[in-house]
Amino acid sequence: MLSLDDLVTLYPDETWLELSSHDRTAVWQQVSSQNYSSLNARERAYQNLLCLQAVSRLLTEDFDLSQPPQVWVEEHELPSIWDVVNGSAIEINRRRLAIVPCDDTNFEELRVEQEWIDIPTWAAHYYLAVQINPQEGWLRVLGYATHQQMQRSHHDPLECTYSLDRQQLRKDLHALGLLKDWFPPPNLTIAPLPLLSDRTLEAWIKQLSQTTLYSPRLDMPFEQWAALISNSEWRRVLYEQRSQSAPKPACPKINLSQWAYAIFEPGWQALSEPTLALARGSHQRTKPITLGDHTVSLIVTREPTETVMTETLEEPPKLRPEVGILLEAKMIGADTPLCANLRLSVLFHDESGHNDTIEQQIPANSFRSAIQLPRLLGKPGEEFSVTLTLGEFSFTEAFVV
Amino acid sequence: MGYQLAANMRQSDRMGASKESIVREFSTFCVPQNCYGYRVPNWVSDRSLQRMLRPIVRENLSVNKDAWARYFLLRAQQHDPQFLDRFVETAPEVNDGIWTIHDQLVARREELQTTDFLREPATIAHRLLSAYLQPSCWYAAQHFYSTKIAPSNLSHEYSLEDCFQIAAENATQSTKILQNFQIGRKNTTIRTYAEKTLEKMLARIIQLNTMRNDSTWKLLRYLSQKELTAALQADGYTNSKMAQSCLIWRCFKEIYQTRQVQQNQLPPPTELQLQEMHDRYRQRCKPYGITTAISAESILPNLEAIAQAVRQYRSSDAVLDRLLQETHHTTDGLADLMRVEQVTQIGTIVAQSFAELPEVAQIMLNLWFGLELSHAEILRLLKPELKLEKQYQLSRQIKRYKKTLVLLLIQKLAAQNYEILQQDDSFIDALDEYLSHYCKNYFYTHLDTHLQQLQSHERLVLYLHHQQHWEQSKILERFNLTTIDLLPQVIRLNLSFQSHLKYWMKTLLKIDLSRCQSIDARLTSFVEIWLKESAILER
Repeated sequence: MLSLDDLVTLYPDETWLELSSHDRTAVWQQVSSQNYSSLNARERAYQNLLCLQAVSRLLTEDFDLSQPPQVWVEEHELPSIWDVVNGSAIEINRRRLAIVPCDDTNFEELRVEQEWIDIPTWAAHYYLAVQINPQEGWLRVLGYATHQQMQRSHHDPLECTYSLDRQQLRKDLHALGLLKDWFPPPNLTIAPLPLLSDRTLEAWIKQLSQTTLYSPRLDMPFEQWAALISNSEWRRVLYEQRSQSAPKPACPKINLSQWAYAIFEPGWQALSEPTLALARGSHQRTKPITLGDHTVSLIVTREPTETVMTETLEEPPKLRPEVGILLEAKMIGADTPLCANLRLSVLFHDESGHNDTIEQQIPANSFRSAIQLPRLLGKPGEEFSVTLTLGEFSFTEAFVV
Repeated sequence: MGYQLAANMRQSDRMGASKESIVREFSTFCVPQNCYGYRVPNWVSDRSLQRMLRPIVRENLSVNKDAWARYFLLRAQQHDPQFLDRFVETAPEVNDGIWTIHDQLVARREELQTTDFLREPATIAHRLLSAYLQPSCWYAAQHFYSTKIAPSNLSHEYSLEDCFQIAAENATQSTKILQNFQIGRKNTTIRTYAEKTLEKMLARIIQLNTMRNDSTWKLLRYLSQKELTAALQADGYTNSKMAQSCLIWRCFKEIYQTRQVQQNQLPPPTELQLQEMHDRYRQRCKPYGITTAISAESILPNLEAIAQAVRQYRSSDAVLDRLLQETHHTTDGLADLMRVEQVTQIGTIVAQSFAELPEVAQIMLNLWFGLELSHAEILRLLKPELKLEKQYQLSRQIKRYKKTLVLLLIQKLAAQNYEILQQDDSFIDALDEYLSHYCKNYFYTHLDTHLQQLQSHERLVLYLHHQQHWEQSKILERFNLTTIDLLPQVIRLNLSFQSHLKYWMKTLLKIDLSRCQSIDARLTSFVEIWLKESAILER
C-alpha cells in the first residue's frame, strides 16, 4: 500500500489532503451518534462527512473565501440524504458544487447518482470527483465536471447513475475558483419532476420503510423516487421510519481479540515510538480523545494470550486462555503534564458477575504526564468499558476481550 | 576535425538527416551502464537492423528522423498502401517528409531489399520503431526515477534500471504506445510524445503493482464498475453471463459491510449476507433482463470467479491499452497558448507577474517547474522559510502561487481576448507547460554561459553522445582516441555544469544545498536532460 507521501510524489499535480486521525475519530463519533438504517448507510455518511469537511476547508483556504462554503441543506437534514444517497453539495457565490466521494482503488470514472443531475432542486453547476481512503487517511480531488458534461455522460438506467471518464474531468480547481468571479453561473436545463399525490407518496413510504441493508433508491421508478426524495418533509418521514425500524446497532465495542490479527477499528493508531510491550508481542494502540479544550491520548495494550490453569471449589482444575490488558492516558505532546482532576476508570464484571470499577485521578497541583490503571486480566468474550472524565466532559469506550 | 564534422552536421540538418544518422537512430539500443557510481546510457547498435535499413534509406533525402519515424509508424499501423496516399493528402504541410519517403521507396520497388520491405512493411517498421523509442525509454525512466522514485520511499523497491526495463518492455509494443499520437499535428515529435506517455505510464504501473496482493474481498469491495466490465469482457464472458456477474457484484457491493477494518483484512461475507445478496439478486433479475436463476450457494463461487477474472485482467496486456487511454495527452495546450501569445504577449505578462511574487515564491516555483525537484526536496531546502511540514501542504502552496499568476493572466486576457475565456477554460492547463518552459530557461541561461567556456571538441563529444546517441567506440574512433574511456569524460563535463549551477544557486539564490542530500543526483539529471534537449552544442 502506497503512503500519502508516495502518492503525492507519484501524482504531484493532483490535490491531496490528509485526513488526520483526530478528524476521522471526531467524524466517526458524530455519525455514530446519528440514526441510520444500516451499517452501510452509516459508512456512507462517514465518508461523505469527511469529504464535506475536508473539501470545505480546502476551498475556503485556496479560494480565499471569507467564510466557509454553505452546505446546501440544513446540516440536520444531511443524515436523511446520506441514508439513501451518496454525495453532498455546497454553495459558493451562487454556484452549487456537488461533492461525490468514491472509495474505488482504481478511480476510473466520476459516477454520480442520478438524483444529483436530474432533480431540479438538487442539481449542481459543478461536480467534484473525490477519491477517499479513510483507512489510509487521505483524500484526493481528481477534478470536476459541469452539469452539462454530466448530462451528456453515460447514463446507466439500471443503477440510475451518470458516469464520466476520468480523462474528461477538468483538473485545475483554481480555474473553477477563478472563473467564478468572471462569469454568471450557467443556467441548468432540467425536466420537471412529476407531481405525486400524498396518497401515492404514503403508499411508497410504507413500502420502502422496511429496513434493508441497502438503499431503496432503485426499488421504485426513478421519477417517482426523485419526486419523493426531493421533498424534504417526505424524505424526513422515510428516513425516520427506516432508521427507527432498523435494529439499533449496539454501541460498537472494540474487539481486542481482532487486534491479535492486526485488525484495528478506525481512530486506533499505532504509537509513534516502539515500546517494550510491542517487543514482547503485545498489541498497543492509541486514540486521541477530546475532552473540552484538551486532547488526551488513551493507550490500550493487549498482551499475548496466555493459557493458565484455573481451579475453583465448584469445578475441577482446567486450562483456560487469559489476556492481560493495560490502560493508560497521556496528554498529546511529549512530557506535557496531565490536567488536574483527569480521571481514568474501568468498569468490568468480577468473578461473581457483579459490576466492579477501578479508577485513578490526577490530583490538583500534580505534574504527572501519564496515568495508568493496574493490569487487568480477562477471558476472551468478557466485556469492559473505559471512561475518561475531565470536569463536565466525559468519554466512554466499550471493549470486548 | 571537430569543426569540420560539426559543419557537416549543420549542412545535413538543413538538408535532412544523413543516411548513416537515420540508420543509427533506428537501430541503436540503450544499455544502462554504471560508471564511477553514475548510471549512464550506453548506445549499442543492432547490426541486423542496420543491414535491413541501409538499403531502404537513401542518401541526400531531405527528410528528418521524425518524418522517418512517422512513416514507419504509419507502416506499422496500416497494411493498406492506399491509406498512406489518403493520409498524406489530409495533412500535406506537416507530412511532406512522409510523402517524400514513400515516393522514393515506391520508385525503387524493383530493388530487392525495397521489395522485401514493401511486402512486409508492418513487421520491419515495428522493430525499427522500437529501437527509435529507446532514448525515449531512457529519458522517461531517468526523469521518472529522479523526480518520483529517488526522493520517496519507493527507492527501496525500484531502481533506475527497473524503471528503464518497465519503459523498454512497454515500448516494444511501439504501435500501442503511439496509438493516440496525432500524426497530423506538427508541434510534437514521436520521441517527445513517447517519452511523456511512458513516464505517465510508469507511475500507474508502479501503483498497479502495489495492488497485486490485494485480498479477494478488498479487490471486490473497492473495484470500479468500469474495471469490472473490462475484466469480464477480456475474460470472454458472454453478454448474458456478464449481466449476471455484474448484478451479483452489484448486490455484493450493496450488502457487504466493510466494518471499518484494514482493507486487506476484510473477511468473507457471512452466511446471512450471502443470503441477502441472493434475495437482492432475485429481486433485481427482471430489470437486468436475466432469466437464469442461481442458488444462494453459488453467490460465493461467482464472486470468487469475478475476483479471479479481475486479477487476470490486471496482469494481462489489456492493462496497457487501459493505461494508454488514461495517459493519453494532447500536446496542443502549449501550442494554443503560444497562439494566444502572438496577440497578447503572454510571456511578458508571466515574466512581470513572476517578478511581483514574493522572493520565496519565485524560488519555490523555479525549483518546482524549473529543476523539477520533488515536494519533499523543496521542503528540505526551504523549510525554514516556508514553515510547512507536509508534502501535500507544499503542493497546495505551489497551486496558490500559480493561481496568483493565472489571475493576472486572466485579467489581461479577458481584456484582450474575452472570447477565448468564454469558450473554454482548458487553456489554463497549458500554463503549467508555459511555466515549466519559463522556469527551465531561468536555469538554462546559466548553463549556456558555462557552455560557451568549453572547448569545441568537448561540445562535440557531448553532442555526439547526448543528441546523436553515437556508440562509444565510434566517438572514440572519430577522435582517434582508442585508449581513453569516453564515459568518464562525459561525466566530468556534466559535473562541471553541475558545479557551476550549484555555485550560482548558493551564491545568488542563497539556497543552502547541504540541506538536501539528493540535490546532486537531481542536478545531474537536470543537466543531462538539458544537454539532450536544449543545449546548442553543435557550433
